Amino acid sequence: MVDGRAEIVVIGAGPAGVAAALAAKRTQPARRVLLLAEEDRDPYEKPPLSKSVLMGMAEPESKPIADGGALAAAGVTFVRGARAVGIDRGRREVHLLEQPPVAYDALILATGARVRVLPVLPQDMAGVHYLRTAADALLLREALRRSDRPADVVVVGAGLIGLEAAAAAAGSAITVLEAGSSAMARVCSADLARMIVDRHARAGARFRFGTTIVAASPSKEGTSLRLSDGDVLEAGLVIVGIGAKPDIDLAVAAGLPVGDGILVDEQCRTADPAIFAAGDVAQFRTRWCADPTRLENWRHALDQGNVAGTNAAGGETAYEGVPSFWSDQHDLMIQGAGWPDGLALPCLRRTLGDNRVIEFHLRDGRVRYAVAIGAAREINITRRLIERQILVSPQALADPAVPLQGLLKP
Amino acid sequence: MQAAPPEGPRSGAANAPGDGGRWISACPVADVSEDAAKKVDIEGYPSVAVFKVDDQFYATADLCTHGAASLSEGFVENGIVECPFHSGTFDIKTGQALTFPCTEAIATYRVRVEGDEILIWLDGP
Repeated sequence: MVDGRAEIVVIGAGPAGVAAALAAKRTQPARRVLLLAEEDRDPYEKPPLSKSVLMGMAEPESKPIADGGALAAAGVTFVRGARAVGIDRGRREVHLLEQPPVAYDALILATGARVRVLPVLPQDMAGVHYLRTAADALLLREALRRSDRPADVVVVGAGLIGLEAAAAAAGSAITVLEAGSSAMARVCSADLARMIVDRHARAGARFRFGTTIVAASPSKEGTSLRLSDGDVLEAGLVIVGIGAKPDIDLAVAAGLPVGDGILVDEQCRTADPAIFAAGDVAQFRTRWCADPTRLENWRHALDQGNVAGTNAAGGETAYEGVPSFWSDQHDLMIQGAGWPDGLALPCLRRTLGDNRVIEFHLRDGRVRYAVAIGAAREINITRRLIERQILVSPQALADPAVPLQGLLKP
Repeated sequence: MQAAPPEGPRSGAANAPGDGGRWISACPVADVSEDAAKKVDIEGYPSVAVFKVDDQFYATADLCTHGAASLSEGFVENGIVECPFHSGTFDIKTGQALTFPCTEAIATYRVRVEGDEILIWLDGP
């Protein structure tokens, strides 16, 4: 239970919130730190939900961000099932559903993001699945298992979540619908996307690009989908992965400035100096980008949460992280590093073998962004090239005979 | 080369100290550079990663204690290896986990060099 008085309060127990709580406690061990989770679970990792959890190889609990014991050992008070419903900035109190309010000296909003919902496929429609939380993943896994014959699965959206779900559902007859002209368009070039799509196609998935759903209705098969090209698809199961939007409701209601997320400065402070935000929900200033930026990456959430927690406890640290992401689809390990705005820049490719490649996007002779398939070592070296803004020779980058790590040395 | 008294493993080794340990040939010296570690598979044992730091060789468990990643694929700098999947880090010399999400140390093994060959000390399987 919540006892009403904490000094530093964190709302949200994803990676940003957990990292913030631990950092705040580390910075000011004498202050009380309260971490509030809306779900009635210990903090769990979301990346495995669309991978090993969906495939039945892991449970949401099997890879906790930090279990309740670890948080307690660190001195953080962790409360599950505590839903924040309002912030009184004048009194510095967080209002909770069916619990007394909690006072704060410093507050960190790490409320994350929610699924973007396609109006024709509401979340409560039978046979329709969205994937964000542990509960979503377990429901979808159960539905995939329940089909005694290979179900006709329709995946809506060829982004990261849609394609990971498609890989996890392999064995079913899978159709992927994508409104755009290529897969994973926010994170990789059309050339790399083709390699990824080919891999899914070899596993039996069919892709329909430039196609949207006009209408959906329950049918004997499950769901009947009328498409923008006039076709009708019968789906036993529909998985929608069309992105997420920041969970800014509390901030908006509290009168904090928001754009595409809660607006914060380089130190993760909102317009209210007692309130911070980090992770998926924060749109932040960084020396790396001209405009405020929002990211939905795991490493970013951890690192930015760390900065928000440190500063909420009195620190003065700027967040300067360079983003990175990964995705597992079939036997492809896809990894990216740098700023995705770099996708529009000229691209160089280093081919390392069958289905092993890294693409570099350069600005002013420096790598701004890179995406790799099956090249973990190369992408991690490249992240340093980006972080250190090292001037690189395009010939050396593209030549697999030139060791990449050598480019880090002056 | 690292001093390597043969009396047995130091704390942090994969297996409990005991009899039956032995020096096992891991790989040629030339296979390991400061930039690139070497993954060594020895039957009956978990895979080992052999690193070179400041002209010394070190051996650790290859599998990250957080996820199913091979640390020999990781980025190495200043005696620290970064997990290639999730960017947690370990001190190569001590095995200590340094950066979240890695919290559990990796096993370390004694190393010595004989001629052109790197040997590692492994306890009985």
